[in-house]
Amino acid sequence: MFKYYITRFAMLIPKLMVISIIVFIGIQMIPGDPVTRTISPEVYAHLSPVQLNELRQELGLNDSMVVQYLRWLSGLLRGDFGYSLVTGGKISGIIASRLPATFELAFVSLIFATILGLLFGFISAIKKNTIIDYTNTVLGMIGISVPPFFFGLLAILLFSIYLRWFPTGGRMGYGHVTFFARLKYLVLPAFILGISLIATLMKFTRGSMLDVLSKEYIKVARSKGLSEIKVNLKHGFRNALIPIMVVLVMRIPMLVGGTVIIETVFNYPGMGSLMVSSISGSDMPVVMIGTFIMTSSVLLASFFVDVFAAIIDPRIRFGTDAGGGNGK
Amino acid sequence: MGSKNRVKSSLMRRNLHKLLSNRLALVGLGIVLLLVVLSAFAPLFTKYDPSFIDVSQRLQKPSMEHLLGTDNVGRDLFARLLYGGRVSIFIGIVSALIAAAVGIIIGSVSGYFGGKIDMVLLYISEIVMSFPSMILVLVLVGFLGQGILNLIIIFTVVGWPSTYRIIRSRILSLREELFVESCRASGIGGASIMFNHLLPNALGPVVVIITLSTGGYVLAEAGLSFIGLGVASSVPTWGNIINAARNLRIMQNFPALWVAPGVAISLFSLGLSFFGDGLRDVFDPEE
Repeated sequence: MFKYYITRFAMLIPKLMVISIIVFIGIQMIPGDPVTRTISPEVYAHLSPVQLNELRQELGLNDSMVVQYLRWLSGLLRGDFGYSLVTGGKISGIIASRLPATFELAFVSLIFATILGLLFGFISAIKKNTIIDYTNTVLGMIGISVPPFFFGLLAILLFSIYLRWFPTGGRMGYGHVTFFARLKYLVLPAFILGISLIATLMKFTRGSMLDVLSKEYIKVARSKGLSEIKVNLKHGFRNALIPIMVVLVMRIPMLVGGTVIIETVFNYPGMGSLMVSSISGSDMPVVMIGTFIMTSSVLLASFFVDVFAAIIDPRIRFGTDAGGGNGK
Repeated sequence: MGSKNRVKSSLMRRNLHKLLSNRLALVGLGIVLLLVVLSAFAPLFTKYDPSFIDVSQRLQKPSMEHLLGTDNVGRDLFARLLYGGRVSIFIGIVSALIAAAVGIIIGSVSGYFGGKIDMVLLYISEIVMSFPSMILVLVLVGFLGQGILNLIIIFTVVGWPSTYRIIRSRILSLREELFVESCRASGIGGASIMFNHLLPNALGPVVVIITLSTGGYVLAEAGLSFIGLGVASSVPTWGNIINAARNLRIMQNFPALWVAPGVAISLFSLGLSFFGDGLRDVFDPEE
């Protein structure tokens, strides 16, 4: 069983390497003197051209690209991300203050959306072709089609300005250190970030459930005299989950990408709004590192969902153990 | 030849019938066509210039003179919506078409040659798809800059893999079919098999992708313009109109300024979803 997880994890590494190479090439393409990105701007301002040249030699900027890449990579792994062009601060410090916020937002949203998406899809499937099913389907289409920032603006107007239930934006007020104190800041952005995921999961859960419910073993379960709830949940839903997990993995990048817009709408200080402000300010080193961090988090998150899928469905992990028969 | 054409047209007629009997798909198509016509022939529907600033007319409520009112510098909102739709829809459709064309070309190469070329191309598509697409779009905006043409290039770079993968897998599976073998047996050349026999059979799902991704790109353009990184703010697009109204006072007191473009974007993409789903039912019954 562990062999499966280790193989899955090992498959991540070449991908991460390629992504790091792309990010490195991206950083090389940033216009301007690369020296400014490895030392702080105050130091740079006080250096003479001769000193700069020495520094360049010392920093290895005259070395071959491969050597420079490996050096950059080892710095990256040690948490040395270089300096921001705009603030002059260490990028690692900026990321450290932003990453937990986005993690919190995306994680809450993922859990929220998964539960609601599965629930609505399940209801739609067992109430197939009723008014409830049709309403769910149309709401699902609306959820996919309406731009998230428009939902965000509508929600701010309704829930924050008129009803005053939630703050209009931000991540925490003064002294809100615990997760639960911050929860009211999280409700609107997390829900709106998850809307399109809810809609997608609902659609696939419905389809997958209907597929499973038409199988022979469901008829057997019914004919044994099991209660309808037990048939639907234990025999139907559990088997319907596997294809849904695949969809979930495929949608995680969209969820994380969605933070860019949602964090901007709600002035939420996370990675997404950092990317936007860095691009507006032409702070490309921060943008490239942000891209690397977000892309690798997405790959890791997908890995964890895969692991979770293997836990609920033994067929997945035994498939690989038996020599990759039905592995992807 | 004659019999082949007849078979084709009867399949087409059956598909068309299936599509026309799907009411939701027709409603979707109707909404999309309405918005396309309104934008394409904007000068017929409004007498205002979308960029004409008339400060004496600022923040007018909707009236007969200004159907949806005016914005904070006195530009007619209805005119801006129509002309804005031109840009937004243009970016959406052109990006979807070019991304699909690129996907078809690379997918055919991949499926036709197979082997190492296929492996490399497949890997490239996997790498592109492992980036969250919004993040990749942002990075590319950072390097290429804003603007209509750049957005189309960027959406193409980010969007080709979905068509590529479908075309590739279809061609790989079609290659094994009997009719291909019979083509080969009757001496038809490789390129002709590829373009005359394989590709047409693989195109159905691409129509669905183009329809749905047009909506996706309209949403993406709107999102980017909304955060100020899409089309330059001087050009009206649906996203830019909302971006210009992003201010608590305007949001609360002049809701038409941001609700109207929001509704336009939503309707357009909802129409495409309805229509795209109908097309999907016609083209891939398995799904």
